[in-house]
Amino acid sequence: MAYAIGSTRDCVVSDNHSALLRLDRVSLDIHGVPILSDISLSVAAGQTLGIIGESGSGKSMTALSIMQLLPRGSQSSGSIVFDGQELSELSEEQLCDIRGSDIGMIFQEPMTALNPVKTIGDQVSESIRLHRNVSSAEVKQLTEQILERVGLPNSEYPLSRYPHELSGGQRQRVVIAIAVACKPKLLIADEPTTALDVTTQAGILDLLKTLQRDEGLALMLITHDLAVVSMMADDVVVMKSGQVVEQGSLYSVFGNPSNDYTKLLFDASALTQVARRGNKNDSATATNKAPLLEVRDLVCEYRVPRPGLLSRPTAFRAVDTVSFDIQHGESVGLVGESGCGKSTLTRALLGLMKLHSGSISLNGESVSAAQTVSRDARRQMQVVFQDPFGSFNPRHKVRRLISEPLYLLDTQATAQETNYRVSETLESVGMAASDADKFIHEFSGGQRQRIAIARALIIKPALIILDEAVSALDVSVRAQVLELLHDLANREGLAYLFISHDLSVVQRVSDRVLVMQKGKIVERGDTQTVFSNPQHPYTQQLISAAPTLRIPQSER
Amino acid sequence: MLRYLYRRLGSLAATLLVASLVVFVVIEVVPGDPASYMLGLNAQPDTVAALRSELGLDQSKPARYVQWVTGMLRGDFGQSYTYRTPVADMVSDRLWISLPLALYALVLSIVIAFPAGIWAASRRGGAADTTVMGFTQLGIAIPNFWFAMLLVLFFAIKLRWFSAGGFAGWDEGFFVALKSLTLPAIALALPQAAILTRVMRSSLLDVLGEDFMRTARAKGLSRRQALLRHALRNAMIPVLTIIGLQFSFLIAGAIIIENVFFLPGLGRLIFQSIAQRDLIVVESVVMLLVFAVVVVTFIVDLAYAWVDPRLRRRS
Repeated sequence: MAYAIGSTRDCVVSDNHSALLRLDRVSLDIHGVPILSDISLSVAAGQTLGIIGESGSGKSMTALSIMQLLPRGSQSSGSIVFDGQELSELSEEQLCDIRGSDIGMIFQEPMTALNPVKTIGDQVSESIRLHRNVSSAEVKQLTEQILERVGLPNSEYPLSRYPHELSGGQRQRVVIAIAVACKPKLLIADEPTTALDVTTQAGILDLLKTLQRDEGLALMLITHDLAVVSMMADDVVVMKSGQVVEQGSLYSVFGNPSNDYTKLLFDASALTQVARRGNKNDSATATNKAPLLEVRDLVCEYRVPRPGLLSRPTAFRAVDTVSFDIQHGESVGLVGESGCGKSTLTRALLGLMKLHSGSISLNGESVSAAQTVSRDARRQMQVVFQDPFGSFNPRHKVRRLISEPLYLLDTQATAQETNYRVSETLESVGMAASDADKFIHEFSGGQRQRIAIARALIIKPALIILDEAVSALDVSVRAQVLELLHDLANREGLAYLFISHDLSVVQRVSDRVLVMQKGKIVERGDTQTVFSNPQHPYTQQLISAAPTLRIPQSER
Repeated sequence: MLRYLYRRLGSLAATLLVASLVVFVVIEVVPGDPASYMLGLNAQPDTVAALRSELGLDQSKPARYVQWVTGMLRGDFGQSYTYRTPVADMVSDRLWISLPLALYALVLSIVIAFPAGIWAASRRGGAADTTVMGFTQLGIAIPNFWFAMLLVLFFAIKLRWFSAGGFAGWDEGFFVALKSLTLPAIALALPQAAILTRVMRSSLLDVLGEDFMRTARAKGLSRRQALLRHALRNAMIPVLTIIGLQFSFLIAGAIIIENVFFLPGLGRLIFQSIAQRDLIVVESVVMLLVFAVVVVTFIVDLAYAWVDPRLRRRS
């Protein structure tokens, strides 16, 4: 390796001529729609460039422009120089030689980034075989080495494994192995950890850092998460609507953002506590009153296919003796990583699945006793789901979508009443009454989530369950939606159960927090106390793994 | 993998058992007594009774079911009511035409559909795609008996390359027999190939949009390499399903084509037997077809597991 560890960084920053990759006034249209305009940036060898932007800002298209893997109907202009070669002038054949060999790329969605019908060994060795002229014994050896390098030792993860036998984090390691198998000079990582849990994310970021240091590769890290960038990057580019709005060293951009949009992103991401609700003390005194929701020793199980024809059927316990209360007007956060039982718990609370044992009562009335959840209980409990794109019927207009819970009323609302309620609710979530006559595809993700909240609100429930309700939203939109939820709680005296894997979100909105691991609640308490002084090792691990936005104080 | 195999075999046996019951019951409730049908309208009641007892029709229904099923397990399918010959012989003669014909047509259909589907998918929206899709429309729209007649007119009557109909028999040599099956096989394969091409194309297009195809391209594979190495196998599940359905259909669904080419196949046998109330033949042929469908499904299931490792573990 020509790059010396440590010293490269400083000399590269000052010497712009050594840029490994340089984009100069790159513009891109897809079917005539402008996607990128005049993108100019450069990545120096051995350095990390963080590209920040929200969805639709053109981050991924910038990456695909570099790879020259643009979708059909793309028209690009400008120059992309990599390692002294103008990429846009190369033939497809020459580009194939560069892709995977000199430039590696990692993608956002590890669950689908690997071919499900090929072994991980096949998929990693394929890129070695493509670019290196070595014997098959050597290919196998190199494949084992590289998998070992990314933290998948051959003893535990033999080459014959299939992707579905690995977890998301492990799959992402395989994708990284494919990308770095031929020791590229540049590694492009497009939201490499967005789909992963915090502890897994920490592991992957750590791996990328080590690989970069040891192999001296340049890293282009694309993410919407400012905290991740602040931990990883040397230089930063901020993108919005296909343009670069600000760029410079991490120190200059994060320490002293000059662009309004950058400032807005910081405000939205910063861990400033949303002002607590005024009635917090009331809810504390209200503990004497009967709790709104009471969950006692709840157990939920899934049947697992029996291992043999004659063996006993076994069950997987997804929720294991969980008990908690939610008071009127209280906001409770539930955190835990994927697979911890959060979603099963939600389904159980909503009466969407059978309980194995335990009880759930709402306002002192048992919800779980009868076969079906009573109308009254359903009226008091509403839900907002994670995916604002998949959770609406695309063929219904907004009016029908949000007025549906009105069927839970004992006396059916008249058309006039329904219209009135729809307009009122839409306005209360910051939409216009006229939006009722539009279809859901006419709205952005943030607007859809507002409509989802309107759907929950229209029946005036006492409790709203928010199942990862802001996870799919961009930071600035997320901040707005959280603000809205906060206002609504103040106005309507709503209680929330806020389920999320994102600690910063839970920290911002909840009065109390429950930490769930493997179906059990391992820690609970006042949000402030839990976050500042976590007791359970799992909570400690979660909190330390979460990336925190650090504003660098001085240039290194 | 073994467990997967056992499970599939178990469901195969269960399907056959249920099918045999259904076939028996349905045929029993069909109006029309074979004995009186065979003897005509003016037959004496005692003659009919005698024939009934000779045919075993006077026994109780459960007893006849057990007799029928155990007989089939031994390879004894009973005697045809009309021809008074063992059903097994009649069926096996016909099977030696229908089965090779079905296989022949299927192979032709695959040989046409795979390259055409892959070609169309790899040039989505281009001239090649439009052309291939146009031909598949035509292939589905043209009735195959009419296409069969065109084939006869052109290849048999005008060019005299093939005979216009009939089957030479396997004793005449493999290629001679195969030659006499060629025109019927082409006629049968045409609509099947058209359907299979469309399935292949759309399934491939779905896979080409998957994330892992982007990973493959980012590795440095060319478009063509990525398609052949990564997309094709993933696109196979729907294609295999259709191939299985087509084969089952081809074994018995060739009645019209068999008639056009004067081929004594299973389709014609079942048609004649129904017309003559030869219930035992109908029952046996239907059971045989059920057996064929179940076996084909079993093979398709195995092929699924071979193609997609995720299916090997799941039940």
